Amino acid sequence: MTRPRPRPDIAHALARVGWARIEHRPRPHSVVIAGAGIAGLRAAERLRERGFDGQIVFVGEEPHKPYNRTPLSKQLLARTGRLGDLKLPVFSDLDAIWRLGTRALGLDVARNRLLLARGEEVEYDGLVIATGVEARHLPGTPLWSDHVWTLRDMTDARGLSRRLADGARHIAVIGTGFIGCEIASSLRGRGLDVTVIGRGGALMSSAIGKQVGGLMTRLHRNNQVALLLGRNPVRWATADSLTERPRSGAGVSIWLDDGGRVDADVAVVAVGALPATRWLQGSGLDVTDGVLTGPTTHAVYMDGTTPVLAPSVVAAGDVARWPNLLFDWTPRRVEHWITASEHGQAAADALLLGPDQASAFTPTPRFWTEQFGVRLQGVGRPGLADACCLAEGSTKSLEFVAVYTRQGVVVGAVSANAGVRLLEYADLIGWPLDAPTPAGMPAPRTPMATV
Amino acid sequence: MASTAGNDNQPHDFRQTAWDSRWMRPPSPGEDLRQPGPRTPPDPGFTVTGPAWSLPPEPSPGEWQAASATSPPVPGQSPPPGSGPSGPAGPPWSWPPSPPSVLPPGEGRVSAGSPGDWRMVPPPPPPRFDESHPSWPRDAIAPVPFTGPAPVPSVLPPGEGRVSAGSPGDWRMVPSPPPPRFDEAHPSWPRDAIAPVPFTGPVPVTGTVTGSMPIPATGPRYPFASQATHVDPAPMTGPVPTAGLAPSLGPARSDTGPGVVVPSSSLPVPAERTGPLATGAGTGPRPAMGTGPLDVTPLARLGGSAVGRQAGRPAFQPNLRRRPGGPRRRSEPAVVSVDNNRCHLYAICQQEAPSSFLLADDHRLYYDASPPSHQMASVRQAARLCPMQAITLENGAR
Ligand SMILES: Cc1cc2nc3c(=O)[nH]c(=O)nc-3n(C[C@H](O)[C@H](O)[C@H](O)COP(=O)(O)OP(=O)(O)OC[C@H]3O[C@@H](n4cnc5c(N)ncnc54)[C@H](O)[C@@H]3O)c2cc1C
Ligand code: SF4
Repeated sequence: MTRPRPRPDIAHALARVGWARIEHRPRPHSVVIAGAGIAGLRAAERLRERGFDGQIVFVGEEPHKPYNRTPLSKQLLARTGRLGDLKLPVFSDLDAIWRLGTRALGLDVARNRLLLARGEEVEYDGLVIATGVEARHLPGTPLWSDHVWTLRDMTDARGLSRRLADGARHIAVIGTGFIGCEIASSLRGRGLDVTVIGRGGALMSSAIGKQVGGLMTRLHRNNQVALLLGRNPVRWATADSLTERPRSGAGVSIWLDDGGRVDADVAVVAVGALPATRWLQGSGLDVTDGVLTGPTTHAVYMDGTTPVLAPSVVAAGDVARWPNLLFDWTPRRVEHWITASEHGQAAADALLLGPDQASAFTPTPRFWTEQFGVRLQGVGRPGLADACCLAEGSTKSLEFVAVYTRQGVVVGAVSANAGVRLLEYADLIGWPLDAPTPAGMPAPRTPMATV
Repeated sequence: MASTAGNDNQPHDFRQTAWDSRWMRPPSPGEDLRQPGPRTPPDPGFTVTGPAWSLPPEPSPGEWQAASATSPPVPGQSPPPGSGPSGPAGPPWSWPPSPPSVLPPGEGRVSAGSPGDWRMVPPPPPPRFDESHPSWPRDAIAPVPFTGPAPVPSVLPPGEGRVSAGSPGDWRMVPSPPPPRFDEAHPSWPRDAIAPVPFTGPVPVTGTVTGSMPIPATGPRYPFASQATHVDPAPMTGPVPTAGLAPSLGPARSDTGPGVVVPSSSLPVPAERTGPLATGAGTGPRPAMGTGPLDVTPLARLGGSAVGRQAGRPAFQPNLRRRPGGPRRRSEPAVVSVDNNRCHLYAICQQEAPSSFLLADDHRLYYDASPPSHQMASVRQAARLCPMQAITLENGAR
């Protein structure tokens, strides 16, 4: 059975139209995710969940696909977890192109290009900047040494645990932030000696305040962590250095600014983190302390001297500095894992919707840490507070909730071993504590005790 | 009864109309896709250094009301000219797509410019949890004059299945994301990236531990065989100290004053994770002071009620075995499981999916092992955000 054929000239015209259609077919859209961390992973997952069927390209510096960093300082260092615990669940088929081990070197916002090594350019329709942070360097620290480590990614964790397995008995931790305290707790749980050297007066005081920080300091001291607070390292000597040698048998010697000296086998520097934005220098984005974005996570691009929102560039995770309208209009960075996940999801939505339609990203920051069996958990930004009071529980048994206020308005809450109780306090954020009691409600009888 | 298509009272069904984003549309003829889209100034009050913003013209609220009264905006349909928030100058696709997730301009926005204008009554906190969560006595508290500089935002964070206000009094569901297309565990983990390090630690011996803090008083302890902390009290002067020059001093015990000298003594070591409560190989969570037995129990085992379940059992199930006594088990297969050894009761899951997870006062986590399908999005989010990554969903649990 033969199909009736069109006239040859018409057949040619039809073929030409077909070719033209193929030739002028719209290019599939592509989203490039710079930084294969948790924020980038959640952004890609959300894009697929929303039905985005274009290309997703991950450009990640580490040779691994995204993994969970948080056990590095906890279970992995304490040897209570396995490497498989770092796996992250993904609930949709990402179908992505993984350019791992590739560092993004620059960005051309006007031409929508990401610049890679060897002059390669990757064109994008949407860019998610999720390069996270990198461990801060303490000036003068011999980070090249085999006895001095930072802890940020799996390479660090692996090198550090090799070093520790090599007969290390005494570890000096520089820095009293969350990661430094977690390292101290994990290593102490392994029976190693730990000395913590830090600038502040109490552990983690910049994040959770002096009062709760003081309780945690007591906890660490009771667990025989040697605390050298209020001191800075000024001079280093390592066993593999050619010029400055430590005391024999010690791997590293650290002189402090009060004249003391600490000899240890391994030193871990955990003095905070700086956003990984060096590759964005000169791109026109505002990268002072992280990529500045609007409330919708769209990056702020300096068009001459006029800041405008770049509709095709969003930033998420630790690297982004954005105003959380839950608190105020001041852009800040948040370095919490849960917030990074939510930020990635919001950034994907914002990329699809555009700056006009996307809603502001106003998460309640949530963080947790576990030290010496005490589960410390927080919501909001306790670091912004100017006052802190004990809301319930007792500090003696280390089971309590503390509420943080700024000018009378609740900005955060921290609980120890009382995670469920914290649920209610999350709703308190943004409300004044001394609100007049509405009619029909019994007046509060006891004033809150101060910690 | 035949269902009415386009019934306005029904929440918008996502599956029938695709996610109407700016990239799901064909390009208009003259449009160059490679150009970045229109540049929009940030929100008013968003202070960045530079000249002041000129605000975009705002449509009057009457326009909004009229537009939505005459023709409810159908996603994908282009708006009547001039009525969209972006105005006629905007690109053709910037009519609010299917989730009207922004407020109409002016509603709930507070200009941050003049601090004297903070007399505004804050709107109630956004309904972040399910309505059933009795956390905040919303109606019980009268509005108070708001004095602080922080307005409670009336813009909801984007999330799955959250409800968002399109205009005052007009509520629509934000469509939940489509189900994932394939069930696949994350195949990416390079398992052998790190060679396992041989355990060279000390051997436990039994004895008493003199630690006082929330450590169980009994348990094995490790011999303390290492050198103690060495602190050199001498100020650093002159040449680099050579090996063996500085005397070995004891551990610095206090954090006040330089170089406290304490005779070197063996320090007690925190007991290993083999308290009386943690059974098994000792790898489980260390029970904290004051918490009861750490346990995770599916609701099904306890005969709990089906939380939020839509359809009951069919009236006749030939294969259903009826067991006398004991709680009746669900016939659905369990898709959610929580690892008892991993969960450290952070209650993030209850925040994310309050109708599927419950951390009760007895310090146990109760959860719905086979949540109804409309809860799966929040259960998945709970599994994503669980700090200990203790929640596992069977075969991806779409
Ligand atoms: C040891 C440790 C413990 C932690 N514990 C907790 C905790 O208990 N609770 C908590 O809330 N948070 C914790 N955090 C913080 C949490 O891990 C981070 O908030 C989270 O990982 C941020 O995710 P991200 O995707 O923004 O950045 P990252 O996870 O840092 O990912 C960024 C990725 O981008 C890559 N990258 C950087 N520059 C480039 C470039 N130029 N080109 C290409 N790729 C690049 C990096 O290599 C990295 O892989 C911890 C962090 C660490 C390091
Ligand atoms: S979020 Fe995870 S760790 Fe926390 S209670 Fe739920 S299952 Fe347990």
